[in-house]
Amino acid sequence: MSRGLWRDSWRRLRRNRPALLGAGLLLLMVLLALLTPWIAPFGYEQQNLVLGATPPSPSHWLGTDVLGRDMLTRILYGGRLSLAVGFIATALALIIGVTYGAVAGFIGGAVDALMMRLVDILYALPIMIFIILLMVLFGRSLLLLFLAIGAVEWMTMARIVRAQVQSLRQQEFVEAAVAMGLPPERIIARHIIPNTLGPVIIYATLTIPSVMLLEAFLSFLGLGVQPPQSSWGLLISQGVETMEEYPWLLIYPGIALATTLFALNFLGDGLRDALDPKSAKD
Amino acid sequence: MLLEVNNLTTQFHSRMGVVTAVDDVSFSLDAGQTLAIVGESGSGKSVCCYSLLGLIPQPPGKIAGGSALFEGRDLLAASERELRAIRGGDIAFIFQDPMTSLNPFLTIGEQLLEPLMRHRGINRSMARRRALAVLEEVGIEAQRFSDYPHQFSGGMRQRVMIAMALNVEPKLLIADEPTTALDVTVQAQILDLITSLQLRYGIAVIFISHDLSVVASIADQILVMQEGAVVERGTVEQIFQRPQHAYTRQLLAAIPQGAKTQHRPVAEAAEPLVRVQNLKTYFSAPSGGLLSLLRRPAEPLKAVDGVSFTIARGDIVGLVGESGSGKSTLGRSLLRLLPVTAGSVHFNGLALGALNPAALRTQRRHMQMIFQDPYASLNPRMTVTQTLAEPLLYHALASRKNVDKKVLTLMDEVGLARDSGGKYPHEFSGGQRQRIAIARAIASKPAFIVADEPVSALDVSIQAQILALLLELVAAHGLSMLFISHDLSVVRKLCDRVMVMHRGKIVEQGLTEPLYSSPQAPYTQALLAALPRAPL
Repeated sequence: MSRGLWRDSWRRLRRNRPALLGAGLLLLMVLLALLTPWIAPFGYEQQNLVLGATPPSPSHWLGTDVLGRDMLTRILYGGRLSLAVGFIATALALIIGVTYGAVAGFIGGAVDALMMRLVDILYALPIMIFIILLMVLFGRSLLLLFLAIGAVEWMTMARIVRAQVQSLRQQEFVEAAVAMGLPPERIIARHIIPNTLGPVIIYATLTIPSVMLLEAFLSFLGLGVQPPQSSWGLLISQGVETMEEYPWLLIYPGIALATTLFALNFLGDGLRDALDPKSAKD
Repeated sequence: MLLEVNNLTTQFHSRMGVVTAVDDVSFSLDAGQTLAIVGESGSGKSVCCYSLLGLIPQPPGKIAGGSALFEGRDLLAASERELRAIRGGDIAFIFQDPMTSLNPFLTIGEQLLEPLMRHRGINRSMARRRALAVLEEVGIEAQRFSDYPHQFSGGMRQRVMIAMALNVEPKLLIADEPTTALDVTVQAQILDLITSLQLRYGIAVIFISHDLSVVASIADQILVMQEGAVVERGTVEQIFQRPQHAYTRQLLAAIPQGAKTQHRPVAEAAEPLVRVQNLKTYFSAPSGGLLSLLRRPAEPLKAVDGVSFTIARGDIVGLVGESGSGKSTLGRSLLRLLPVTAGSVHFNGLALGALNPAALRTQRRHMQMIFQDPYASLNPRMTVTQTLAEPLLYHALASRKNVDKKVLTLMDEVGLARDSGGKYPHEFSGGQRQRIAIARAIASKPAFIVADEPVSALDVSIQAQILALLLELVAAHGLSMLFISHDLSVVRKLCDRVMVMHRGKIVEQGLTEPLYSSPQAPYTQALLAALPRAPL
């Protein structure tokens, strides 16, 4: 009897094979990331300068880098960081962006104009200056990196959600909810936000990789992760430099990132379909 | 014989299997004749005509059999290239919604010239002369040649569509519900226009409609379709006087006729349930954000302009008017779903304008609304049970424990199957969706309901069922209702009193029967004169 959006969505998701495969892969990635300190064959800063860069071998499955560090270990540790940045920063962007956009779009009028002009102003600020400023003021830390990236990415989300909400507000079912006497916060939570989820999820799955790449860029500039720590983005950008002599330094971190993105896309598509009752094939 | 269709069968292949949309349909048409194809949505009346010209997407569609001889040439066997030459050349189309069938980025002049230059191969200046002549013929002034579609009203746009269709001198005009989106007075004008042009040029017309009373005045032959098959055919007289098939009789019975049979005695209550005094709702022109502060404010649109009336307990009051008359705005202003510019609404002796937002929200459970479009008025992501439980739980009319039981009672009351509570809106037909919306409106046990065109999006036979349901509920719960409609026959059948609205003002109000039999205001007279009359 008690069917509901969440329960039904879960039921539909379970029948979507590609989405399940994506979810499984992501879960595996997350598990590996969590368990890295126990399963990694070497320490991430453990060098073997005599060895230098060697191709994959039985003792180093994915080879070693120019300093003789085990690539498998580096990739595992890098994944910890990349996944954390991807998920935390995106979650932050989601929460701020959806709430902000929904409130602006629903209230409308002067409040909306004011809120969106603020977004325009923040948009106009160069991201780098903003992040450098944060780093200078608060010192360099991973937590701050998450916050800074999240604080940049939420603006696009807010714009997407606001546009959605504006068109939803005109819909008669929202008017019916107003006529029913429901307070605005309840209307936003029950009638508006569930109907914006489709585009939001798609955008979120696109945000995670772009956040990972932004992190690589910041780290490259020395504003993010510091060596000997590493992330996938950083490994890839270092791998590019030596791609001709030591291709495995680029290929394996590339595969790790690409697999994650594939998994995310499958899961994202599956979630969008699952959350839309009209896509039900029963 | 201009067109001869034999045993046309069109199927759609879907995951669910094969659907036969047009099932062995045959008809023929002479030059200068009008054939009306009548049926409800899904009856295959449009698919039938679109199949002739290769306008159905294939796949999933497939023309499974039959022939369609147009001047001796089989259209079904023609190549896409030949069909393109025929479409917009010898056979022209006009559609229900003239806005979506005109390109919003081109002036109507451009759109008139293109087919002339393409199909008739004449140069620009000649085409222009001809296009202007056709525009004049359909009653559009020459200086509007360079206007864009959005600058025209619905009726004028349909005239443009007719001009486009005529412009290439077709032999056959296929009109798919051409007046359904239009007001009655405009509908009458467009029907007149089509008939007069048809007489002058000897064009054959296929007129597709869901409304028997509309085709009565123009058709030579009527084809009644149901579920893809022709169930009855005949002249207007045969169909209306001696219908043979049960479905035809059902369609005829669904045309609202006559007046409400039992008028309630007008109660002399001290205080009416709803008292509206000099209500005004103006819309200011859309502001361009902060910059608009610098500009001079534009003249506001006076959607409701000084309206006063009362609604007694238990009364059903009809509000009629054409689109843009402000009747929907008035309904929403009454319920404070729109900000009101001036005037007052007293509900149950309480001035709604003086209430703070929270107090207004508590009052809302006593006054509800039913919307026109049952597809837009239900949250697509909530099941029926969730939709109906929401007002019950929020207004504490049910507890978590007994809410399921109360929802079932509501579903019984509006005639929804008990086991459909877990379904989502898209799994229902339009009529069933409207039942859900009605159940939601009566869930909080309101005293007053505003019903805004609650049946105009529905098929005629469904309309009759929903109207019967509304009457039943009004009687059972002692409801008062403001029934907003553009359909004068429906209002006559349903309402105790009627108000006629025109350009934001109420031009006439009174008891239903006196108003219909001897209308006083010139506008009311014009409205009633434009009603399509079934020959009964």
